[in-house]
Amino acid sequence: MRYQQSDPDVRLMLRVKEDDAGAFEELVRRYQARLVRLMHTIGPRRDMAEDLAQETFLRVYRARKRYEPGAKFSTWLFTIAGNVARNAARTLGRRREVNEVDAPRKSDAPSGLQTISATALDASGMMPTRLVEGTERAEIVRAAVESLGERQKMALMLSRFENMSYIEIAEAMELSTKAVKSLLSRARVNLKEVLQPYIDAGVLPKESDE
Amino acid sequence: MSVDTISDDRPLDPDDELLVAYLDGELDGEERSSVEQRLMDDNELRSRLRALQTGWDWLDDLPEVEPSEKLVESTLELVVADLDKPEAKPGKSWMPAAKWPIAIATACVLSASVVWAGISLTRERAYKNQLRDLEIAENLDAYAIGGNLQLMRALASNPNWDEMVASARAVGNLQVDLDTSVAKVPLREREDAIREMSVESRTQLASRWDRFKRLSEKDLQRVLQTAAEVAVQPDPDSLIKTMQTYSVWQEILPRDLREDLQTDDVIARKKAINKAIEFTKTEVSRRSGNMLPEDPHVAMEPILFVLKRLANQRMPYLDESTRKIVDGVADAMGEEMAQFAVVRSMLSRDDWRSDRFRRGPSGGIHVPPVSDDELLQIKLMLPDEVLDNQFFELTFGDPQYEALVLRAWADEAIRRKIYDQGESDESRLDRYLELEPSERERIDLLSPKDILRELSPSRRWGDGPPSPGGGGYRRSGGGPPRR
Repeated sequence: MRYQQSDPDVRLMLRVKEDDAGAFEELVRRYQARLVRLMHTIGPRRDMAEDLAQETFLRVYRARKRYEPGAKFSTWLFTIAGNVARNAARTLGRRREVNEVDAPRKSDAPSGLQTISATALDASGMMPTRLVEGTERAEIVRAAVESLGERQKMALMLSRFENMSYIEIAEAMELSTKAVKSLLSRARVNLKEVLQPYIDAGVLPKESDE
Repeated sequence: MSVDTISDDRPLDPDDELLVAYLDGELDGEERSSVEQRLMDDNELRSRLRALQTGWDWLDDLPEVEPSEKLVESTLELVVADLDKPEAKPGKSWMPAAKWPIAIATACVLSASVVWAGISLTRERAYKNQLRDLEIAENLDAYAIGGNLQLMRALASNPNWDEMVASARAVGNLQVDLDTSVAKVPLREREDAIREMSVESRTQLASRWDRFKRLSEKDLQRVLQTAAEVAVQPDPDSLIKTMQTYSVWQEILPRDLREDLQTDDVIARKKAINKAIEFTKTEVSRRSGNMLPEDPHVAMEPILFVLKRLANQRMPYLDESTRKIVDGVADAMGEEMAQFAVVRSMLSRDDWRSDRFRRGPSGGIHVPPVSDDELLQIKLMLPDEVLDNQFFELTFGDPQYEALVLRAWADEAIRRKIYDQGESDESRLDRYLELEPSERERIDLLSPKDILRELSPSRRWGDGPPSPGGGGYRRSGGGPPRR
């Protein structure tokens, strides 16, 4: 019950368990932006992020009677979010297989990695060094994150943007802490590799721009 | 330039893992000191740490995601809509402040209560009936086909039925949803079961319920009768499963096959079933080309390799007119295209044509057709991942079916190679082979550049400038290019 004392969101969720609609609304307000950001990255499609966030809240509400405060509320929420994203990817994959049967063949849209590679060429030694700024850099970073594996993305988002510890991420992702450690290491190394051309070409990181 | 990312199961440099844990503050005091000591001594380690940190810092630049303003509101609406029955409102005291109307009010309340109880009871009963009917609505497609249970049992017991269904589902020819969520749940638990369903499943159920409610009286009686008949059978679950599948399957069968299946004669029915299954397998194999992995190196290249080898084996034995045409293709478009022209002729089979799998004209190329044994050579070249996944999923090791699928894959590999690399929906090879012999001779004499220009679609349909030779070669009857 220690989480009940320390985590205000757990207390809110316990009120939701007692059918307190106001408490649920408060939880939605507190978490919606974070959940949409997470879904933006780990979901199968960016334009589905809000729908997937809603589906997560819906599941939270449906599961309210079974809720037991065994961990931080956010840990529980992100576990559900991970499942929702995975299910959506699976459903979408199946639908795509079916739809593609008669769809005209066309060249695939570039993956995150292809995008980054194409842009990275500009930043490599082949091209005059230049600064990558604003939306372009945002796009480069987004593509770099997209190039990561599903679980790496999830671990990265929870670590970097939710400030969760390895133990908390392990709980949310239902993995061992050792597995989380290596997922995050892979994620960081991959990010480094993908962004290396920019770093090598002298493109300045954010702090140096200011 | 390409960048390979490290997948979840590839080994990782222990130093990278250590540095990441260091950056994440996940090392204990001793480990931390040890890393810091190494960092002081090791330049290379320091730059690795910096690079790891830089990539991490750049994440600050991830595009901001602003949820729409109405998201909270619409989420709450969604949740409210999810509640099937409104929550009971907290009780309020009905006792009026003044005492004098109590008697009247009590009488009113009592009579209203009686009416309300009556209405509630009726509603409750109707609600329960609806919950009961829901299991029929859920399997509406199955019950709607009628109660030919003998046919259903004959289908289910046919040794090829399950494999055909699995293959057809694998290529998307048979989209049947066999998950029944409501029917298996006892009546009293159905309400909760519906509440627990995903939005997608519930939408599907609602649409079936809607169709069920809109049935004509006659159809409704038929559906109810079939449902009642199935319910008393010893094997209702497997019957419904077969009926569901049959209801979708029959839609892809030609009318005559569908009618033949309805016969009461046991032998004729068995024959009709085998014929219909055979028909479906052929259809499935035609579509199975879509299952070829996109990466050409995985399956397409090995298939083309075998096909080219088979074409080369036929080359020394070409008849004179075929030889002339093949040489012409080789001169105009290269040796490989000549091989493909021969391959396409090898694969062509009259009953193998459809709009989707239309092969180009053989253009007078006549070579012995490819045999099943030759097709099986392709199987030997395919990597295990393709055999274990796509191939076996379709064929279940049936050699006859394997040949059918391999033919379709060969067809698809050629189609991807020839059609997809072209600039238009008709390949130059098709256009070349469609030419009259005299026109072909004229084209053969042009320079390679002019040949390509002559065979371009704009030339083909007369939209471009006049050809230098003056011989525009419109298809008789004209018309727009096929799409």
